[in-house]
This record gives sequence, C-alpha cells and structure tokens, in this order.
Amino acid sequence: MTAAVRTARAGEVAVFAGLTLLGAGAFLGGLRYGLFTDNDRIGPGMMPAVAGALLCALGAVLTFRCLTGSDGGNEGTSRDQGDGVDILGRTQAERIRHLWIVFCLLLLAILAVAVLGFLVAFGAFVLVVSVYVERRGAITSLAIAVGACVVIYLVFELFLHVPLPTGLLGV
Amino acid sequence: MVDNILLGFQTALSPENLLLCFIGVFVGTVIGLLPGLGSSTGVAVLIPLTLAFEPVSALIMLAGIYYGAQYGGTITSVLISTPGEAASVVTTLDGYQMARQGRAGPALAIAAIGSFVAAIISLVLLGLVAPPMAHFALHFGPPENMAVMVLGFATIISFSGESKLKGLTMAVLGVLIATVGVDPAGGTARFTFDSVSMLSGIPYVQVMIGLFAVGEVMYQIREGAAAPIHARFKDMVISRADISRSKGAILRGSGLGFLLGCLPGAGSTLASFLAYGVEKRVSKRGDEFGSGAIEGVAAPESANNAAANANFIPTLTLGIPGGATTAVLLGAFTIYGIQPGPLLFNQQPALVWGLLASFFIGNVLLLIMNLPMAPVFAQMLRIPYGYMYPLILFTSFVGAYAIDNNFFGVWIVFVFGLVGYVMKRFDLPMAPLVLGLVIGALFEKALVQTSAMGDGNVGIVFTRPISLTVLLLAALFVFGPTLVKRLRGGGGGPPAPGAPPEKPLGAPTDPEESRV
Repeated sequence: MTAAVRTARAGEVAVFAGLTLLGAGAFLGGLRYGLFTDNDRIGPGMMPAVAGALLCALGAVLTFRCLTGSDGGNEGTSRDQGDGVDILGRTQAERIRHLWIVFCLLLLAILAVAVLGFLVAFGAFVLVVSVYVERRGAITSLAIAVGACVVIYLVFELFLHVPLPTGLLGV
Repeated sequence: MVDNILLGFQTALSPENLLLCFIGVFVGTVIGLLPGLGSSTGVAVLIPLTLAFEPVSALIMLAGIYYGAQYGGTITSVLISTPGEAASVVTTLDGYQMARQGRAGPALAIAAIGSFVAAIISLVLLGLVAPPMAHFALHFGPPENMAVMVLGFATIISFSGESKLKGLTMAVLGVLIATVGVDPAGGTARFTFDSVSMLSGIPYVQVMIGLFAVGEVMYQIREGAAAPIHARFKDMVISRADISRSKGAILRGSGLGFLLGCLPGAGSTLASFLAYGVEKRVSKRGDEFGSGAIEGVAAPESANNAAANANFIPTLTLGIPGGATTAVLLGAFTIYGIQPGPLLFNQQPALVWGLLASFFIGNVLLLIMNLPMAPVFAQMLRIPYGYMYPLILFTSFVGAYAIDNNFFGVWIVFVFGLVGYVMKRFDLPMAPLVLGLVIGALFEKALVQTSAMGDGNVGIVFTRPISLTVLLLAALFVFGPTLVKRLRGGGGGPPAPGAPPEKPLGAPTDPEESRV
C-alpha cells in the first residue's frame, strides 16, 4: 500500500467517523427537542433522533469496514496510486496545491464581496485563477473576466433585476 | 374531447400565442442554463412582464418558461454536471458521463426527444383522465403521501448497487440536513444555532449547486487537466441505435412520471429518481447505468417532463399545486382573476385546452430548437477546462445569491462545495443525499400529519388500502429482485470474493476511463 493510498484510507476513516459523531450529536439533539408531544403525537425531535441514530449506526459500520479492510479493499482512485502527471505536466502534489489555492481564493472572493461588490470580487477571482493558477495569457484572461462580469450584469442586474451586492465601491 | 382539443390548438396556434410560446421557451431555456435559477424562480421573476397580456397568452408564455427552464437545466446537467433543479440530478449520472465520452450531443438530443414524447403522452392522458385522476388524487391524504415517500427511499436502497450502505448513509444524511430549521409540528427551531437564516432550513437548490457544480470543479482540479473533448461530428448526432435503445425507457418514464405528477407534492424529483431506478432494474444494460447509458438520460428526462405536465392536473382541477412551479403559476392564475377548480374545464375551455395544447406546441418548438442545437451546445466542451471552471464557479455563486437575494445561499454553496469534493474524493454518492434532502422534509410533514390523524398512531398507514399498496410496492422494490433470484436458484447472496463491485448511484467513475 503506497503512502498516498494510506492517506486516502485515513481520510476515508476520518469522514466515516465524522458521520458517526454527527449522527450521535443529532440523536442527542433530537432527544432534547422531544420525541413526542404532550398528546403522544410525533414531536419535533423524532426525525432528528431517528435519522441521527441511523447515521450513527451506518457511519460506525462503514468506519469498522474501512478499518478492517472488509469494504472490498477500495484502494482509492487511480491517481492515488501514483504521481500521475496531467496533460499540462502537473504532478499530483501540484494539483492538490492548486486545489487548496482555488478554495482559498474562493473564500477570499466571498469575503471581499462586502468591500468590492459581487461583480468586482468574482471578476478578480476569475482573473487571478486564470493567470496565477492556470497560467493562461493575461490579456485573454482579462478579456474573459471582464466579459463574464458584463454578461452577468446584463442578465442578472438588468434583465432579472437581481440587486447584486455593490460593496464600498458602489460597483 | 376532440372539439376541446381543436379549440385548444386554435387558441394556442394564434400568431400572438405562438410568438409568446416561443419567447417563453427560449427565455426559459436561457434561465435554465443559469445555475440555481430553475423554472419556479424564472416563472416568478417574469410574471410581472406578462401582466399586460390576455390571461391565456400570459399562461402560455409562463408555461413555456416552465418547460424551457427544465430543458435548460438538462443542458447544464449534461455538459458541466450542474443540475438546475432537483429533478435534473439523476440526469447528471449518465448524461455527464456521456459528455465526458464525447457523446453530449446524443445525450441532449435524447433528453429533447424524451421530453417531447412525454409531452405528447401526458397531453393525451391529461385530456382523457384529468378529472378522474384529480378525484383519485383527492384520496391521497398524509398516510398515502408518507407511503409514496417511503417508495422514494426504497428506490435508493434498490439501485445503490454494492454500495447500498453508502447510498443509504448519504440518504439519511440528506434527511438529517432536512430537519434543520423550524419543525412542521410545533414550530420548534432545530439546529439553527440562533441564526435567523437557518430558521427556514438549508435550501436544497444551493446545496445542489455546491455539491454538483463546485464539488465537481474541485475534484477535476485535483484530478488534473483533461484534454478538451474533440468528438467527431457523427458522434455528436444522435443515431438510430440510440433512439432504438431509448424507446422503452422513454415510454416507461413518461407513464411513471405522469402517475406521480398527478399527486400533489410528489413531484418531478421523485418521478425522475423512480424512473431511473425502474429502468436500471428492467434494462438489459443495467450494469452500464452510471457510466454513460443513454437510457439513464432518456428515462428521468421523460419522467420529469411528464410529471411537470401532470402537475397541472391537481393545479387546474383542484387548485392544489403539484409542485413549486405550479404553486407560482397558481399565484399567476389568481392575478389574472382565474379560479382553478373542478369547474374550470367547463367554464373556461379555451383557456384550459389552449394551455394544454401549448404544452404540445412548446415541446415541438423545444425539439426544433434543440435537436440541431445539441451538437452546438456540446461544442462548449472544447473550451479548455482552465478557462471554463472559474466561470462555472462565478455563475454558480451568482445563481445561488439570485435565488432569494440572500448572501446566506453563497455560504451554503461554499460549504457544500467542500462537502461535495470530499464525497467525490471518497466515492460517496451524491444523488441519494439530494433525494433525502428533498423528500426528507415532505416525509416529516406527512409523518406528523399522519400521527395527528391517527391520534398518535402512525400505524394507520397500514390500514388504508392505497398506502398499504404503495408500501407493498416499496417492499417489492427492495426485496423483489433477491426473492426472484432465490426462487430461480441463482443465489442472491453477497457477491463472490473478488467480484468487481457494482458502482454506487451517483458515484464518480474513474476519470481515466471516462475521458476521451
């Protein structure tokens, strides 16, 4: 078993264990809300408790199967098993780094909406991802980002009258 | 009835109504292409534009937006795995895989053909059985609705393959997410963490955008850039073999969709999931489902279109909306001073039959527009993914915001984007989660009402003939195949050691094998 596959298995165990805990939490929350009402009818806690208990049990079974390898030996995706290079010559480590960069940029764009406005924040996101992460030409990327902002503005603001947040700049 | 149909076509084919039908279908398709903006939002946003028209003309245009938006949602489901509505979720399973194999054209074409055939079948059935079906639907109380939801859950168990456990776990997770917000029994706020936005629950459309659009983009970034898809033109056009393979799926999907669409609340989502499940069960190529089987597109697309049309039965004859979009249309009826109900067919035949005939004409227009356009839309996949995914993310987040002009939706998309990525990473199927989320809330409402009806005893669900029949059907769905196998002496036990596992519903296929 390679290091990448071991990491994938550990991640899988963490996800299933997380689901088990989530289910347990929902079950306890359901009990707190009350399973039945005063006149013995279904109460607000019944569905969360039942769904929580089921999720807890199913999550525990999946975790156990994963730990004991009795889940058919899922060895992760094909790319977990080697340092596959994509058509742009990027290794898996680089791609994973890009993934988290895009996630962080996305979070930044969302946080920046209050300051820059929706169109500018996400327009800048498109530009930065295209140029910095995807290494595309700056002029083409700028044209695409501006074009996207114009189309979104025309469709959402002008046609559908959706008031997109404008931020401090008023754009 | 023939006179009524002729009157309907006479009304719908007037130049003004024909033009408005075309505009409705076209605008609806464009709206459906935008992530998050499904038919209900499209119709609601555009009602004010129709106030100057005659009621029948306005309704024809709004109905055009309804099914145009549904088809627009299908295009994004197939090309970029971003369903516009919950009813299109199942289409992503095989439609997107077909697109990755360079067969987006046939997938889009069969969706248009399936929708067209479903429209014809449902139009005929609407004309023949609308009043009796409406009366039958009246027998559907909370216990019957609860039984239908159980049937929906049974489909998950029945076609999740080897990974039934994972499918079931995701469905339960969906149900659990659906419990967030104010409970239907007494108005208790559950798991809201004192957030006002959470009181109305986790909005499933934003969850879908996060899981499918953002999750898919993130997964593709991790998997690495694939070559743009350069399919030959002949692969972009639907073949006779494709149509021949899909015939049965379209007919079965249409019938099932019509039946479920007649029931208030059951709706198109359940119809599309059930049609897919049934098709996977009866098809000779059941093992190909999930990796690009054309029947896997034809069945749910026919079902959700037939259900969309059948939704008009309770809406027109009972004044009870069959789904979210027909609820908005019901509001439009009152704006135009029309009172839906049992007498509507007699009192306003030109309006009712004109509207029904416009479904047929609108679907003809959709077919004419989209059969030649399918290969053109499919060309979108030639754009390098590095340019496309930032735009997918941009439109997804704008769409999520635009649904109710609330920034909370943007955060939901972000969080569920991360969840979607993790699910794809670990082969956890997404479709059961969406189904659990959509029908979880409906199930709880039916459960609470059933409990109230039985004075605390939900066992009344077993004492009513319709609900008992539906529950038996659900049991047959789950245990039937195993029983049949055992009776034939074929076992039915667990797969042999070393046998390749069946792919779970909605789980990603190996990208290496799905790329062309």
